[in-house]
Amino acid sequence: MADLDNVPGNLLRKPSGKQEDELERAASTYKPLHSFRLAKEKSYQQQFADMYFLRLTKIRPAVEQIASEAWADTVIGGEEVKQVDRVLDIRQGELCWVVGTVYMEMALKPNIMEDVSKDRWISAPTSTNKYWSEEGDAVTLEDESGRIRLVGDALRSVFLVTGCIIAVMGTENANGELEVIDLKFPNLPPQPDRWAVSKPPGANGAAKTKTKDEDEEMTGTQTKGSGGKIAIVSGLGFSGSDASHAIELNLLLEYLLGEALDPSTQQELSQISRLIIAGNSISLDERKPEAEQQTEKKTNKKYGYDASSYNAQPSQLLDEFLATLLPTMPVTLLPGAQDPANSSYPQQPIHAAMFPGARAYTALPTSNDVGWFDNVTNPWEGEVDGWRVLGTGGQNLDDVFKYVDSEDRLGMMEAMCRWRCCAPTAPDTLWAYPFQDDDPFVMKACPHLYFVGCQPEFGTKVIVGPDAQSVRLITVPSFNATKEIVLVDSETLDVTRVKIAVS
Amino acid sequence: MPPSRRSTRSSQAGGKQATLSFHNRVTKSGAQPGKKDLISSTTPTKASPLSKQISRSEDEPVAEKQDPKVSVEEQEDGHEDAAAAAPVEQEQEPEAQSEAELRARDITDRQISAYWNRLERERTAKRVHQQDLSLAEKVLRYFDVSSQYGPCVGMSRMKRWQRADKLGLNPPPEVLAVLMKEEEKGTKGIEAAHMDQILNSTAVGAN
Repeated sequence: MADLDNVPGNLLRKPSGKQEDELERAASTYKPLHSFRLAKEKSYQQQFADMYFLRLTKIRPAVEQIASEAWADTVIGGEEVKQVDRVLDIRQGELCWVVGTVYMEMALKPNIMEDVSKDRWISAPTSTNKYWSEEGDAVTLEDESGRIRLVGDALRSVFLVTGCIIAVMGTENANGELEVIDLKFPNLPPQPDRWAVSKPPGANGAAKTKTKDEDEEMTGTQTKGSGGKIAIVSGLGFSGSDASHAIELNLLLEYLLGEALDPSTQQELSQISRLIIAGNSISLDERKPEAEQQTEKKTNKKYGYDASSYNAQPSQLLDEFLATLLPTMPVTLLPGAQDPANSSYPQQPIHAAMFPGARAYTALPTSNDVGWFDNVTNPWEGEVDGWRVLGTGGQNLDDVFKYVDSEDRLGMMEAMCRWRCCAPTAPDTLWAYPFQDDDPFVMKACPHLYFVGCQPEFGTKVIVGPDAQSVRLITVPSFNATKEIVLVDSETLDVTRVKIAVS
Repeated sequence: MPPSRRSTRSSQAGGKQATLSFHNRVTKSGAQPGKKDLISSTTPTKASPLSKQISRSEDEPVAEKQDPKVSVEEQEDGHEDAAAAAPVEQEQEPEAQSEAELRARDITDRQISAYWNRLERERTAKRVHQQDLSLAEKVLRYFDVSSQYGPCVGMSRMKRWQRADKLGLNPPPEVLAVLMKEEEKGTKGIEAAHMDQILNSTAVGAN
């Protein structure tokens, strides 16, 4: 049987008798940024118009600069291109360019005005897959002064959704619409260097001061950190009733703990330094059929809801999963569309009271430290192993998906980066908090890694910007459907996909 | 025998149980100017630096209240005390705000009316329906409808000016001067835009 023993990766072998080395997990350098945290006392008295104003004011300088550089000396048909300040200043026959916010008028989009006017006759809202339709869609450009409709072939080649800020060059035609000749986006924002916010782990624990060529130094001295990986998973979907992927969840736990597979693979697994859960950890239970509800006798409704219909099992299962994993690996938990967090963007962290077991690993509420179990907001920005990471639970990409006639989700993620806005459709069709002082969805700094969770399938791409920015885009598939997780190398930002299957 | 209805009889007879009264109902916006008057009435007495620190640290979520407190205290202590009090400040923002406010405080009434006349000269026709408004209210209303600083509804005028300043839009300092002067005088109704007050008033009997 010596052959079997020598086959690598084969678990069917005699005990070797020698002491195996203890594997140690790679450490993770981590610093979350609280860009999307809301104050505890939130006021909802304000209107949403402030958000659009803030977005336009913050992004307008960048677009104007790009547009004026591109179109400054353009002469088309003997006419020079001029900038106009307001959308309504465009005159017929004059060639000009203007900056504004895009607004899409779509027939299939849920319209609050129609809902309010049909107050008594409203039926249950039907959720359509896409708002986009062949006819009946109008792209308009809007700013503080007014709105003008855009037409032209140049619009067909780009993604446009409500809320993105663009510069448009064209002229007004006879119908009062702006014929678009050229479009410019703000493009990627400036990208911070690696290790901009947190300090890299020094060779002997001494933190070095930041120098230009620090990256080269660090990879030489780091032995444990190099080759570290970040695991990203989403859509775990713990459920009280649906156990179709329970085995895979268990195997995932064993995989992450390093209990599965053989020692050589476990050596690789010990490099996984952090797990990021990107939404939908708890799945909504399907509603009970109508007949069953009617035959039940009147249930006792205390505090206005029926307490006996609440099933605590999903959150208990999630808590067990986390409590088993946390002693060995730090976890960052983003809420998703189906998680017990608030439903409007940005979702606030899931309260630690939901996790009686894993709660021990969170930081104290009053301290500034970060515990191994970090409940964070959705969307979330932070620095992991020096790389600036932006992650969301999927609602922003799903909403943008409904607006465009395309299935290319990575292309939409790239478009969001180039628009400098990670949730442009908020607050139009994506419910959002009415921000009044600052719009946090505007990307001030370009992330190195941008991931979106709860997507139907895995995809990854690297995009580059005009100032040598490069962003790695990842769509993380839902685990309950695809049984896949994503591993990101923390030195090169290469991505591997791991599928857990029971064969 | 039917149970005796003692409770109804005693209330009819005006018994010991007190009737409910709604006279001390808490009003909404009316309460706030009263609070400002309280502050301005106590500041004539010499405020110690400690009280400055305390009053600046409290009411932190209420940003709009912060500014009148800072401005009122600085006025009575003069510029040199304000400079000494600056290190006492706990956050950087009130210090930066107070710089804009210091500059705005130096703007005299003559400069404000010169600013207003400049604006009026740009128009070809005279303004109508503004005869019974004070100059301060006219300046503030013009600031409200200047859409380059954002929508005026849903925000107090002072907060809107501060936000425009923070975003780098260069709002006119004369408007800040008018706002601070009106707050010192305790004029009612200048805190929020007039349009805001109209839109927020609830009509009883609708629907």
